[in-house]
Amino acid sequence: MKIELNGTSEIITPNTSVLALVEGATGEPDPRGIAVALNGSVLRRQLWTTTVVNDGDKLEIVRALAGG
Amino acid sequence: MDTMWKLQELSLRSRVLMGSAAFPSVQVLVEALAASGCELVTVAMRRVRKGPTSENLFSILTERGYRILPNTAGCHTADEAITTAELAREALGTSLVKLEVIGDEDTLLPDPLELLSAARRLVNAGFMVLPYTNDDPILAQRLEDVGCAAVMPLAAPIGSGLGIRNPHSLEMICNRSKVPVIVDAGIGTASDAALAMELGCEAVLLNSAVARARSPVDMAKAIRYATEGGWLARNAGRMATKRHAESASPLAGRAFR
Repeated sequence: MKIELNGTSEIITPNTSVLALVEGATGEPDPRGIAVALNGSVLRRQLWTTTVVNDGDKLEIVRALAGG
Repeated sequence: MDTMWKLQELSLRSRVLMGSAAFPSVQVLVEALAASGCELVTVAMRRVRKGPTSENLFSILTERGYRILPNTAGCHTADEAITTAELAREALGTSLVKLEVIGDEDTLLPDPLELLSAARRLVNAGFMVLPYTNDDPILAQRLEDVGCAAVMPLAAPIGSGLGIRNPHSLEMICNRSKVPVIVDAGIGTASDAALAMELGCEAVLLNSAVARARSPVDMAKAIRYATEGGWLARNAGRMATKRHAESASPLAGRAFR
C-alpha cells in the first residue's frame, strides 16, 4: 500500500506501525526530540507503537534543526 | 539591583536570546552560545532526513542546559503555525513558542492578521507565546491583550543587520507594554543591542549578527556586554541633553586668568 511520508510517496507493507516508520526515517531506535503528524494532526508519542498507518495516509516526521 | 526578569513564571538572568542557524560549525555555535550567556535558544522544526544524521541539535542544547525555544519560521498561515507549534511541544516537551507567521518570502515581514489569530488560538491551547511582530504599537497591544507572554517587535527585516530603524515606535511599544518587549530580528552589532535596552526592551533575540560575524564568538560576547551596558544605562537614568556646551570643570580658580 501507498502512503505519503514527508511529502514523498512510499510503498510500505500493511500493518506497519508509526514507530517502525519513525525508526526507518531517522535511522535511530526510539529516537528523541521527534514529533509526528498523521493526516495533519499530532500523534502523541505513546500512540506510535499501537497506531498502524492506512493506505493513503499522510505522515510528517519532524525534529529540531538550526533556526533563528 | 535585581537583574532577573520574567517571562510569565519563567525567571531569566540573561537578556540575550540566541538563534542557532547559519553558524559555520556546531563547535562555533556551542562556543558562541556560551559566550553570549544566553539561556534560551531558538530552533526550527523540520522534516527528518535519512542518512548519516548531523549532530542532534536537541541533545546538544539540552545537555548544555539551554532551554529550547522552537519557532514557527516558514509558516504563512495561522493553521500552519499552530500545527508546527503543536509538533514542537510534542517533540521538545516545551510550551514555549516563538510565533512567526510570515506575509511573504520577499520581506519576511509578519502577516498581522494571521499572527494575531494564531497567537489567540495558541494562548488558548496553553502555549507561552512569544510573537515576532512588526514595530507597530497597536498590534503589540493587541498581542498583549490576547495573552502573549511577551511581544517581539523587529528592529529591521530578518537577516538584514540594519539595526533599529524606528526607535520611536520601539520606545512607544516599550512604554505601553505590560509584558516584556524583546527586540527580534535586524540587530547588526553590539550598539544596536545597547540601544534596544536603553529604549526600554527587556531582552534582545538575535542570530545572524553573531552567526555571520567574522568572529561569532567575539560578537556573542560583545552583544552580551552591550545588552548589560544598555540595561544599566537605562536604569541609571541618562542626563538631560542641552543645546550648548557646559563645562563640568569649575570655572573659578583657573590659573593664568
